[in-house]
Amino acid sequence: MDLLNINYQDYLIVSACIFVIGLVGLFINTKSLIRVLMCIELILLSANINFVTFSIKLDDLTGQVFSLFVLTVAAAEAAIALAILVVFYRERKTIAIDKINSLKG
Amino acid sequence: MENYMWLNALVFYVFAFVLIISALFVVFSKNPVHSVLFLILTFFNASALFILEGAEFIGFTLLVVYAGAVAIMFLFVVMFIDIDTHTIKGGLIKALPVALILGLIFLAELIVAFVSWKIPLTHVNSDLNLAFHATQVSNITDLGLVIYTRFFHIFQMGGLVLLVGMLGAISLTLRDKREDFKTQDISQQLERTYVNTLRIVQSEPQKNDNEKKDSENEKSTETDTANSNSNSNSNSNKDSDSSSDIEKTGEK
Repeated sequence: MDLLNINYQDYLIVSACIFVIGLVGLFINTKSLIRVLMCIELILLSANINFVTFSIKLDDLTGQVFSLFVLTVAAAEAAIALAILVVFYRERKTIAIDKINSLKG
Repeated sequence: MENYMWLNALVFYVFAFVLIISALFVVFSKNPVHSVLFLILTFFNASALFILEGAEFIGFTLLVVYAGAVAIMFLFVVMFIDIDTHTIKGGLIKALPVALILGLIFLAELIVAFVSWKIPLTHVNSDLNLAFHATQVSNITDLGLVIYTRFFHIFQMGGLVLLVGMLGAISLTLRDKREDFKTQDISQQLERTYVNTLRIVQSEPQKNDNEKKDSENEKSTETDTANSNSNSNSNSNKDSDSSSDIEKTGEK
């Protein structure tokens, strides 16, 4: 009976799972720069789920408005990051993360 | 009512399950194209969860902006640049223990925090409440009443962020620069020295014909682009007793 009663904590747990998947993906990924961007998108998505859930639960619209702006910033960030990725690939012919170490000296 | 609750729970569990599984496939899939496709599936399921929660506008915006624009842009970039999928396969094992420990710690902390969190029953902003409108107008109307009035400046700021993002993406990937494009060339600036720039030219007095006829024994300083009408600019100091022109030339 308790399983049938979906409340806000279930959404928060789903959001925590998405966040952790994104975080683990950031760490175990050493080969492709574009997958780092996808993991960042996952983390932002989990932040959005949190905002919307708290907005619904707290009966306050500010969370949804903030989620909208998180969406905007994430779209701009994805555009810039993909542009940097394309320029980097044009320059170095690789996007492997373990090859991007010229600042290491 | 009992039947509706059962349906609500079923829809939530289906979408949440597919959401988490597709998010796992985003991280662990070998092919980046599959990874992007699972990312699109993740966004679809998240938007279904938003709609189930009652935030329709965020759900549909997520569908349009993420699944329609951002994920397709990811797909374009993955397909444009030539990623060797065989080299991507390795390197998973090395960081796996650290990632698993960190992930478990984060997951446990977040779940403990979320489950034990108690909601305060005080509403601070009474005009931002959902239940204030919820029976009359939809979620989209509700958000629209707030965004263009109370959050208007933040809304404009979001537009500015998108504009800067667009300009940055264009100027980063701009390939064929125009010839008359006024830009700063740092190497050219740094190799510009006094010796290369300033040239001291001996002028022969009395032998210049009509262009330089009344500018003997003068000292003139000008750039080489204005070289043709050089001496007409400097008639004012023609009585100086130097016998050499100093011409300040440009780079070329």
